[in-house]
Amino acid sequence: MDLRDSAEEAEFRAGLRAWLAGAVPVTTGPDGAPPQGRWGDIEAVRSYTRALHDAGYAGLTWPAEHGGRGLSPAYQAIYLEETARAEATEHIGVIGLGMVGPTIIACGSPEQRAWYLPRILTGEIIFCQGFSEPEAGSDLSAVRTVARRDGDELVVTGRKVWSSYAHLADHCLLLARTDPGQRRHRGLSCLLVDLRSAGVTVRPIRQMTGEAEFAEIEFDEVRVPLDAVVGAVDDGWRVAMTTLAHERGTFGFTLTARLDVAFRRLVATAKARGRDTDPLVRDQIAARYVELEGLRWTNRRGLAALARTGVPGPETSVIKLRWSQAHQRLTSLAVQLLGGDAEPDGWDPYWRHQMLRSRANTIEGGTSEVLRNLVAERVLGLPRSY
Amino acid sequence: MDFALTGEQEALRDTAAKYLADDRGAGDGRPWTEVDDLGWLDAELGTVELALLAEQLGWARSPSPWWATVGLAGPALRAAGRPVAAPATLAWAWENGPDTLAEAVAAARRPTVTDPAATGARSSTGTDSAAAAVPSSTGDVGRGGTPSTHTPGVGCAVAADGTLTGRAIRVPHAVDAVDLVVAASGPYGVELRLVDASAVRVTPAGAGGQALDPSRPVSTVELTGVPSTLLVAADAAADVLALTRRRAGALLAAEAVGVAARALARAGGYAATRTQFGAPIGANQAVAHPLAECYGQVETARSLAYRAAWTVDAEPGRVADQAVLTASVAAREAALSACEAAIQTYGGSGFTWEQPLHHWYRRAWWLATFDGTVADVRAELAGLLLDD
Ligand SMILES: Cc1cc2nc3c(=O)[nH]c(=O)nc-3n(C[C@H](O)[C@H](O)[C@H](O)COP(=O)(O)OP(=O)(O)OC[C@H]3O[C@@H](n4cnc5c(N)ncnc54)[C@H](O)[C@@H]3O)c2cc1C
Repeated sequence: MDLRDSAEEAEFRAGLRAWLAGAVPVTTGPDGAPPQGRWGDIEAVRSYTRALHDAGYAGLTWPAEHGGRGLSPAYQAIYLEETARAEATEHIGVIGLGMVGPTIIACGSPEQRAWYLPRILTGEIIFCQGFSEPEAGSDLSAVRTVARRDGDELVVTGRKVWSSYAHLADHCLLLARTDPGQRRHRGLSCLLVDLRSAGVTVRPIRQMTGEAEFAEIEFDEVRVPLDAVVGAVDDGWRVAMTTLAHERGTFGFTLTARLDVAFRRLVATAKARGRDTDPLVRDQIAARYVELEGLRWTNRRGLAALARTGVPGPETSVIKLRWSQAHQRLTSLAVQLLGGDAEPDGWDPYWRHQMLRSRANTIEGGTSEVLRNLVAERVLGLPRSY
Repeated sequence: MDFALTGEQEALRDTAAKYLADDRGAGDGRPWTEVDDLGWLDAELGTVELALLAEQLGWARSPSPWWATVGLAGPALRAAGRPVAAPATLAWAWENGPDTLAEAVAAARRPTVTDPAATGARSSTGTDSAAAAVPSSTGDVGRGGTPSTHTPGVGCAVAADGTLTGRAIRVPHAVDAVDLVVAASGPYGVELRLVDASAVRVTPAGAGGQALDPSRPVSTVELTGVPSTLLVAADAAADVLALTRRRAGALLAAEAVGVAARALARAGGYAATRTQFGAPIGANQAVAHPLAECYGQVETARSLAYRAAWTVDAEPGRVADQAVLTASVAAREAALSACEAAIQTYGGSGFTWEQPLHHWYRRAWWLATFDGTVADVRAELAGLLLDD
């Protein structure tokens, strides 16, 4: 056990830090507060994405043959720590980089890899994830969107909901039923669909924060070539689980990095509003710090298990669950710090927005109830409850 | 950067687990010599190794005075080049202060108040026969060679002949100790001195079954002109006490993780087998989900406890202080929550004396209130996060 950077890791960190010092666009919202939405200034995000790619920081853990750097996840962890410290924005293709790309690497055909992977890295194509439907949320195996075989094509009809960033995306990783004769997780397939195809309609859905970061996608007889299927036809459940494993597994570093930024902003707000001497506030700030650190070091412990066994340790199954709770508590605390101030500035709307946005954290990417079911069954060995 | 345990560390942990597994009954102490035979007192063990042992001892809820020996007394004994062999403990809290280890460290750091009349009177304390017996690095040289007339707030005084007088409170495992390390006020500030525990009067607190955790006894210790030997002189005592505090805190965090993990394992086992309404009770989310939450608490606390133990040796000072406080909060809370969830999972039987859960629950409370409450720890952490 050695929690210091190795010589190579330290060198990577120093290089990245130096690069970030020059490359991070200064994006501020009203009155000196950070911009509200993650994609508030989309052009800044695009140019940052290009710069990231040119500097070799996109796809650090992807194999070199697929345009990545072939580095171990420890480097991804350093990358996330440092970008959080620099308060840098993210690569525009978070879903492509973190979920769809790794799924194509794991399950895709050589042609799919050659076409999609480089374009995901540059940010040229942006993916969204089309799994959830009105009747299939927690119970994903209930998807009703059908992809009917017609010669060398599949004809897709159905409706997806809550698809994040679908309004920015041009491609979608779609879960659809290819065999109507099969039930539940059998007879499903994962498809790479171009959202500019005829018959696709994307309708932004306004969320409780007021913005529309997710959308409904309607597919009306959309023709998709058969070679757009990732993995084997009717084997989509396994592919989708690969995607979700990435969403719930290594994504923990991204979530923790964001929480790290939020914590530093919380401290800044407490000081700016003169609340940092209130013993109750101090107690709560310390509690939030303990939660943040618990996530940070559990991520790293999981990483060590991953490096040695090829699978993340069971402890990583709680990261998303605990991160969502920690973030909700943090934003609630921040909003309460604002109260006493007579002269609101940009931080008031910022924190109120963050507080509202954080309500989704215990729903998106698997609800907390579903995650507790998973821990209970798979880790604690309890009988299935539903 | 590698958070994996080495093969040796895993072997140490697994051997400990096996040894402790046949420790029948919560109150069943093992002979002290076995602890030494197992190598658990070896000077080569780093804090990570000690934390792995502490975790296993917490899992077993062992009554062994091992923690007090290596965690509380160990750093001072080692600093003086003495072996850690017999059961030992530390007296740092005194009837008239200081109360906590943090306060004892602060008292030891405080510059001594000098009396001009006493300046140059070093020879008056030079009669300390013990001073000659220790290496000069920890010798009785004091801070700048200027003796004080006022004790800087430690309620135990070293007399000119090296004898000690004071009333120490809440001394863990004093009833088991052979060696008693004492933080006392000498002429140049706080010193750490060694006393033969058989020469002091030990009065266990909460005698007659009233103790919170009888397997972790604490006592009042009366020293009335007891002979002592200098271990660490005033110029080094603050650093040794600070190390002691970190070391002991990291080990207790690991112990709390062991307590929490054991309670959770028992609860999980029971929830999977106890049947009501025709199904195992664990099939109800109202039973299963609190246990899933506890699992999250235990695992994050474990990460923090291991990391804290690592920093004690690798990044002594502020980084380690902050890491130990962080781990303490998480681990103490995890231990209490897991025990409480387990008791609830067991239903009526969880409330009985016969069902041993209460032994772990008592230990969890002992841990949660040792040397300050969880809120006190958070307050100190907040100071590190907000005040500079
Ligand atoms: C901001 C945001 C972004 C999202 N982005 C995407 C995206 O990009 N792509 C995508 O495909 N989806 C996305 N989703 C959808 C998300 O994955 C689903 O909302 C989620 O899985 C829950 O499904 P549901 O909304 O249908 O709720 P339901 O499944 O109907 O659940 C309703 C309630 O019942 C509980 N419940 C359901 N089943 C159980 C059970 N077995 N045990 C205990 N409790 C249960 C749930 O926990 C929840 O509280 C997003 C959602 C949000 C809020």
